[in-house]
Amino acid sequence: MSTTTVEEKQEQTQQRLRWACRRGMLELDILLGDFAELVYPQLDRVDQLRFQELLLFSDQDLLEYCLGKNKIDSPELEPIIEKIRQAAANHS
Amino acid sequence: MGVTNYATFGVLMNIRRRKFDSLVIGAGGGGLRAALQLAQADANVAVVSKVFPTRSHTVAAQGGINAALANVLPDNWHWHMYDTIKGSDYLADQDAVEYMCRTASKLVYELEHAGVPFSRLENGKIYQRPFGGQSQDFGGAQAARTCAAADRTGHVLLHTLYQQNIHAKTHFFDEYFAIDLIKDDDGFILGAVVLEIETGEPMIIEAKTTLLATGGVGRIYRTNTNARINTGDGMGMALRAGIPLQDMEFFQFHPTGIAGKGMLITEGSRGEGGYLLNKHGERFMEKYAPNAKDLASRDVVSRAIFTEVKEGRGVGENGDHVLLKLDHLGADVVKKRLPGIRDMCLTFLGIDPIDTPIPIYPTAHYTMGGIPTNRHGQVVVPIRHSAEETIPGLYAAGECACVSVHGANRLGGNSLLDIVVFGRAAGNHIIDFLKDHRYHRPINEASIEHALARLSRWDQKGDGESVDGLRSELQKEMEDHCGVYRTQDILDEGVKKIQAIQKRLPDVRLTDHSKVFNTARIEALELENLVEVALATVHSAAARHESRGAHSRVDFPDRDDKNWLKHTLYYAQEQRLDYKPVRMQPLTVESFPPKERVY
Repeated sequence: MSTTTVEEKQEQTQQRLRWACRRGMLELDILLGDFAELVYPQLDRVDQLRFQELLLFSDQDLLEYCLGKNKIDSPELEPIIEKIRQAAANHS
Repeated sequence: MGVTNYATFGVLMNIRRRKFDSLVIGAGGGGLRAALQLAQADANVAVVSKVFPTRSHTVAAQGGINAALANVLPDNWHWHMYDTIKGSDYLADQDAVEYMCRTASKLVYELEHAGVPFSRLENGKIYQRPFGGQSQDFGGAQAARTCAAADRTGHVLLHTLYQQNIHAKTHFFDEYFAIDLIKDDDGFILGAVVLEIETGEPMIIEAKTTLLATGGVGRIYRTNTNARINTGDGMGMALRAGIPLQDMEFFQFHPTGIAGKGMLITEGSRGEGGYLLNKHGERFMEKYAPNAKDLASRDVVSRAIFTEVKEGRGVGENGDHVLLKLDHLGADVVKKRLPGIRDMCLTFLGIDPIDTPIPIYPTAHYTMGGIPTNRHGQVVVPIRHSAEETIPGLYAAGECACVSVHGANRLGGNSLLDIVVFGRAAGNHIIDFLKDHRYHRPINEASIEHALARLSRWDQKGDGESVDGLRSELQKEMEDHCGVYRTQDILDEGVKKIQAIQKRLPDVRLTDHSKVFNTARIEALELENLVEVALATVHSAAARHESRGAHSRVDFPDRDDKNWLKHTLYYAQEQRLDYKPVRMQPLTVESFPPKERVY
C-alpha cells in the first residue's frame, strides 16, 4: 500500500488550489493564479483558509472585488482581497 | 522505463466505463445550451468540463447578445443577417446566418423567461444598445440590436443555463479533462476517453453522440484576452481524429491590449482623445493614417504598433510595446469616462493612467475558425461524394466550431448568440439522431488504446524540455509570425518555426509524475492541443493570398473573391490544406453577393 507523506499532501493541496484558480477570465487567472503560486505558501493558516473561501465566489463577483469596483459582503475576507491587489501591483 | 502502459498491462480491462445517450465536452454557453435541450427531452446526458462549469470563458463575455427585437430603434432579422454577412467579409455561410438571425429573438425571450435579468427600458422592454457594424435597412442608419444584462451578460447567461441543467438532471463530470474521441472503423464517434483530474485515473464515456463545445484557442498567442483554459482541446481532439479545422487563419485581434498581460483596453480610450507613442515620444499613427490617426481601423492600428516595435521603436527594456497616453485628458475625464481602464491599470500595472501612459500591444481575442459544422451542429467534412458529409455521432458548437456565421470577422454581440442558437440546434438534431440510433455501437478498443497511449507518454521520466518553456516559445513565434502583420516570408518562416516546435514535443518531460491533481500533466496535454491548432492556423494563413476580414496580408492587401471566396480546411495528418465553397444560398431569402466592405 502506498502512503502519502505530509509533503505530498501539501503539494496536492497546492495543485488543487492552482486548478481552482483557473477561471473563466484572464484577469482572474492572473490575479488569483499568481497569488496562489507566489504568495499563498507564505500566508498564515487563517489567510490561507480565507483565500480558499474566496475561490468559492463567482467569477464576475470576484473580478469586481479584486478591481475595487464592489466591496465584498463578508468583511473578514476584505484583508485577503487587499493582499491580492497588493501582490498584483507588486508583480506588475 | 517506469511508464504506465495502460493498454498492455491489462489496465484497459479495469478502467471505469460509463454509458450515456449523449456526451457534451465543455460547459460554456454552447455546451450547456445543448445539454439543456437534451436533458429536457429526457435524454441521458453527461457534461465533461475541465473546470467547474460556471468558470467557463462565457463569463467573460460582457457586451451582450444580438437580436432584432426593435425595442429601441426599428429593426428586423433580415437587416441583422445582412450586417453579419457584410461583417464576415462575405465568408459566412448564408444559410447558417439566416437561421441564426431568424432564431435570435425567440432565444433571447427564452433566456428572459429562464431568468436572465436583461437591462430594461422605461417601458419595461429589454434595453438594446448600439454596437459597431449594426445597421438599419441594409447598411443605413445605426441600429440598436444588442441586449445586455448590465456588463455581465455572459455571466448571467452561463449561471442561468447551469441552474437549468441541474434542475433538468444533466450529469456533470466537473474537473475531468477530455483526452481524445473514440472512433470506430466505420467512422462513427462513440464517445471519449477522459481523465479525472482529482485522481489522475482515465475513464471511458461511451455515448451515441458527442458534442464538442470547448471554446476558442487564444492561448496560441503570447498576448491574448482569453482565459488560461482556452487551449483548443476540442480542436486538437478533432484534428487527431482526422477531422480538418476550417478557416483557422481568421483570428480577431484588438490593437490595444495591455502589453505582457493581454487584457483589452477599449477603443473608447482613443475615442476620448488618447493616442499612441513610440519610444521617441512620437505620435506614430500620424504617419500610418494621416487623417484618422489613432482612430484608424483596428487592423491598421495593430499593424502600425507591430511595425514600430519590429523596427526598433518599441518602448521598455525589451522594446516590445508602445504606450497609450491619456494623461493629457486630465484626471476628471479619465475618472469619469474611463473608470474601467483606470481600475485595470491600477490593479494590474500599479500605474495610474492619469499620470502614466499604458504599455500596449495588439491582443488576440476571438477564433473565427474551428471544427466545420452545418447549421444543425453536425460535424461535416469532404469524404467521398460531397464537401460536407457528416461524421456520424459527432457535433460541435460555439467558438470551437465553424458553422460558419462569423466568416472572416465576427461582429460584437454575435458570439453569445452563436453559442445559444447552435447549442440548441445541435441539441435538437441530437434528439432526432437518438431516435434513429437507439443502441450503443460496439466500442472500439484500439481507439481507446490510442488515447491512453497519449496519456501514458507523459509518464516518461528523465531530462527534457519543460512544458512552460515550449509553450512560451510557441506563443511568441505565433505572435511574431502569424499575428497582425502577415507577409509570405513571415508566414513561411512561421510554418517552419511551429513545425520545429512540434518536433520538439516528444522531448518534453514532466518532473511531477504523481497521480492526484497533477495539473502539470493537464498542462502538457493542453500544450499538445495548442501546437496542433497553431500549426493549423499558420498553415492556413500562409496559403491564403488575399486580405479578408481579420486575415490581413501586407503583400496581398485586397480581397480576391475570384480565387479566395472559399473556406480553408486543414488536416493534421499530412499538414495538408483543402478548400470548400462558401454556402452562398440562404434558406428563404435572396443571397447577399459580395460587395466592397465600406463602413
